[in-house]
Amino acid sequence: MRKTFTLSMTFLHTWGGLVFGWLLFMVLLTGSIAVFAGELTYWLTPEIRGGLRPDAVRSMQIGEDYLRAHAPTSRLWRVTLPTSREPALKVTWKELGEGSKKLDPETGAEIVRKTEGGSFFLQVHEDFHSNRDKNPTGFFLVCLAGMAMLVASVSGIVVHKRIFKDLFLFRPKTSPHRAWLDAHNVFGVLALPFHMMMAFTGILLLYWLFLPSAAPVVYPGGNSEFRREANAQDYRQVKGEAGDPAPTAPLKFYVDKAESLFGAGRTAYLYVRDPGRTNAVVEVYRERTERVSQQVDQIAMDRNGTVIRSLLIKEKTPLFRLQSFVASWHWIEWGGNLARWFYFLAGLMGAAVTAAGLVVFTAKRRKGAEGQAWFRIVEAVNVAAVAGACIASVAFFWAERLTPVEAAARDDIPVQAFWVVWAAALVHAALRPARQAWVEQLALTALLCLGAPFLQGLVFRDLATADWVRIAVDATFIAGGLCFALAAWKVRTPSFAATLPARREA
Amino acid sequence: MPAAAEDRPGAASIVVRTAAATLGAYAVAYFLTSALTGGLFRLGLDRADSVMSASSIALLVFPAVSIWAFAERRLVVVAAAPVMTALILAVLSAVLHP
Repeated sequence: MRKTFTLSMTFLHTWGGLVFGWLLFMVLLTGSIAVFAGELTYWLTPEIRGGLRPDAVRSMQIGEDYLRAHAPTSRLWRVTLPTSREPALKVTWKELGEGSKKLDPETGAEIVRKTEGGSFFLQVHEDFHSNRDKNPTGFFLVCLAGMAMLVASVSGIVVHKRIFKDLFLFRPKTSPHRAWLDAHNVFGVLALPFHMMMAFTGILLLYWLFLPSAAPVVYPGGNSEFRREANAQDYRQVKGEAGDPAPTAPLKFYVDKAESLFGAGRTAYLYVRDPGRTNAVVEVYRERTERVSQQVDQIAMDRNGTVIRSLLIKEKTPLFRLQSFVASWHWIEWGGNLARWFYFLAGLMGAAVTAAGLVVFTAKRRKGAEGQAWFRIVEAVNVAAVAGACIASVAFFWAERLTPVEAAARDDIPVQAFWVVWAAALVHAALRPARQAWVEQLALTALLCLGAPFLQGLVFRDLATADWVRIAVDATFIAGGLCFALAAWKVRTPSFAATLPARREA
Repeated sequence: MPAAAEDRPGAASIVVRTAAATLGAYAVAYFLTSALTGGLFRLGLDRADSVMSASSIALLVFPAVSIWAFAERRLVVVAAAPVMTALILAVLSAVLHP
């Protein structure tokens, strides 16, 4: 606590920014990548042919036939229809046998490759891939980092008094840390409303988990009862005994019925509980690509097609719709490619603000603290938190591409590669002088980015088949690689290097 | 981070202050959510809406309390909030679900 408001905010911004900045960079980087989770999964699954225009009715029939043949006794089925972003048909079954398969939406052929794909980055972004239902620690850390981002944004406006005046200034040669500070300010101001909105809406997505004290006050069953009532998610869980055998109609029958209520051709996925039993329930979910809404319409029917429960957004209370609307700003499934590119670039600007802030922290204190143990630790963690996170992210894609399709626990290997590479980056940063560590790790990221599209020569196939989604991913890797190469080059040149030590401190 | 005058606090001091502000603000938000939910429900709001609106408000209060705690030197008060929270929640719970 300092003597004036500005000094109090300086302390908060500086130290809060440092402590949470290490986490925040990873959250922002993976969140930005996750904007294109569907496209990245497609890119990582070369077995899915390019240019598919899957027909929803045919795909659903293929999924149903597969489940009837391979999981006739399972008590819960899920069929996820292909989309233009992720054109594989997905079938999942649970209870009395469990499995999940991706199928070619036109031929029904199994896609053997198991991959977390782009959703891995979504999980790191949400809870550091820690499965928040079993262990919410990662989820709370991400939420606190989000709150710290809000606090840092507000305190940053107070602290950096001239940020709006200095918006168009970039002065790499005026003082050792001036360029980093200018970069921190410019990226911070340009996307400030976006960053504040994302920090708030990110937590608002799962408010009942972050602040679990509300629901028990008015729901005797606590959060689970609240979620059942608010989201009508009653039927996707298997409960009680299965009924007697009784035929269920083809899935198209239920989908047609649901679409008569929420719009033709709008089904995204459906669950079937206890298929082929008297107590069968089919729950159909609407897509949300053209709606700014986190919640989606859901229709649950019994085996005769009688609607037994429905959640239509237009029938919900204004507050429910408002929360759903605001939360969907974070959960970007609307707006198409233009909105996704905006989110991707603005998210990367948030990561850049954090990275520049971390460098400014050390640049400002170099004279007084150089050689001290705590300063050396901060420098090493800075390198690993920023450059190391970038290497780990690209290493995930390399591991995905290089792991044999038939390898045991194949989908775990790239995940493990991500964490191992990140840990290795920290060790490397601790062993090398900070400046060399920055240069080497940025250069390695550049090499990995530039090489990723050429692994197994797939870029040439993408070009030959004019598969524009995959070509766009290839091009983004190359553009990213060039940016990292430029950053590595700049960091090793004298004007930038003045902010970093040339040699390791004794 | 500007070149404003700063002291060089020890690592323990930084951790304690940051933790006090963060956890204290969380505790305040946690308490506020329960109290607001109960209050809004009593006022006649739908119970799901009470939960949603109370949580949304509390999420805005969280960063505001963190900043206030630093600016106004009320870290001790904020850090004591978990105890207050537990007490008031117990009372609320007894009143609403006897």
